[in-house]
Amino acid sequence: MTLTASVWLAGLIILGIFFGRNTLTPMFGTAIGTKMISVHVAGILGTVFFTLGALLNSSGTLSTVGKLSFIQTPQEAFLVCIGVTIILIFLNKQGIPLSIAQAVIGALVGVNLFYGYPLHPPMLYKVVSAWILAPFIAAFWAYMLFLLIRQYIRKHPIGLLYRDAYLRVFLLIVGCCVAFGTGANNAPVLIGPYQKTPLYSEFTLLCLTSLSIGIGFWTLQHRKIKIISTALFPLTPTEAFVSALATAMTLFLFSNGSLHHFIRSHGLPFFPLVPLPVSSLMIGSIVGISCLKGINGLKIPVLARIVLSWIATPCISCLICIAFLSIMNFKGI
Amino acid sequence: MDVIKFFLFRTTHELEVKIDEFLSNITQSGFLFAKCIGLYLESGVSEEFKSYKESVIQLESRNDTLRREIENQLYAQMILPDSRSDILKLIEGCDQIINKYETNLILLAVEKPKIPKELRKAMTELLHITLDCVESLLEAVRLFFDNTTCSDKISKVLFLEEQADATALELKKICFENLKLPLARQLQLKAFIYSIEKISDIAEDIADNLSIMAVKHSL
Repeated sequence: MTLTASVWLAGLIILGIFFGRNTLTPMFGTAIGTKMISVHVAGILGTVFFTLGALLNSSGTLSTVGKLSFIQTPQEAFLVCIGVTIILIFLNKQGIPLSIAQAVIGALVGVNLFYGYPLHPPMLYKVVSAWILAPFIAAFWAYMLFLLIRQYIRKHPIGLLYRDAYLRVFLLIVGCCVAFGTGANNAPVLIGPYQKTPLYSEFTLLCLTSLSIGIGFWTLQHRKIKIISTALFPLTPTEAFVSALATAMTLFLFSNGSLHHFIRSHGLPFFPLVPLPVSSLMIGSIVGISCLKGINGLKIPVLARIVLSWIATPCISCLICIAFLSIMNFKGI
Repeated sequence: MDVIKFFLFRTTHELEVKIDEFLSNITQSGFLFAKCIGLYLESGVSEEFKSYKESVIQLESRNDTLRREIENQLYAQMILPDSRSDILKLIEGCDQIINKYETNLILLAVEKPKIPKELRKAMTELLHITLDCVESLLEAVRLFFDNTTCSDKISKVLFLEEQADATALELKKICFENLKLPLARQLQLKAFIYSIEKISDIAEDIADNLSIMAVKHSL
């Protein structure tokens, strides 16, 4: 890999850093927001488990993203990453939990539209329908889990102090599971713009992504944590645990290749291995819990704002990507 | 399994032990307080009275130390972050009760109010109602920490507090209407009655907060 080729990787690193800033929230945000663990502990664990997920369990999602990505040059990949980062910065400043997966997929579609590459409609359909379905699945998991846990605790009361101690351990474990699932599900989408470029191996790209995400975790925005855990629906530590567990379970369904093939081989309806916006799963699980606790506590205007951002993000990303490529073509780069 | 639980949750266990000792000290000091008042009504400030008074003072001092240790542990080790302020309010409220026991005994020892025989029976009744009120409160607090329903005990606290108020009012009526005492003595007796009545008021305030906390922490 030459020095010039390495420079174009800066787009991936910058995007990875901002992804890290945005992604620790769904993993450990509710635990940090309820002050169960510190940001530094969350950063270390998040980085380690994200890396493991990316290296061990991302083949299915890599294949899906590979079908959508036709970027051949590192320069185009760099521009796509910078475009997505600009959207990320803008929406971050608005305090909206951004979905990197949606932004990158939107950008890849923008590239395909600009160059007239095939859009692969069946794959796009799978991705978009998964984005719509996944929050509802997370809400269902959260609803059922909270119901079961509540019934269990009512029948077998655990002392307040010990309940807190158990929760601290469980929140850590489930946060690590979410980090693993995020690595398996979202790392491929980050390297998506560079996947088909001839200069870099997938392993190198995944490792660089993990490293840059680790750096991003250490520059976490506390405001984002507040939005998910308290502004939408005030969560207790038990509810924070349930929402994180529901998110981890949903990510597992949409990332694990072995489970996917097992279900498919038995002729059952299967979940496609597509990248999901992790924050949407967390929001879905919080809504699921609020259905059980009293939906009046849910702040609908905040939820509406978040949902609108999920619709707008891929569209804006696509348009910005097309604009960047137009400028690049115009300048003769 | 118990060994694993001990090592993994050693800090939680230590905190549990401290809170248990804290509540037990309040119970013990309540019994000593009742004993002291009984002794004072019989024979004034005797040596036995002074001995029990010193025990209550020592228990109060120990509880202050425990309260500070519990506060430090809750904040320093980030235990119960979501309900830390609730737990601290509870502990500080319960600490006021043992402080009141100590203050009342010191008041007795210093001012040595002459309590007429006509008041002694009602005074003893007020004392027992107040102690029952505090005991019910402490049981409610223990049930709260065990994550068990404590609404029955809270209802008992509120009922006993009303009884204490009614008994204290009767005592004041006897003091001001039936007994021909100088005003200064009447006011001294009234202050003493009020200081015992205040204990049940504190217990009622804590019980009110506890009922809200129980709802907050229920799933």
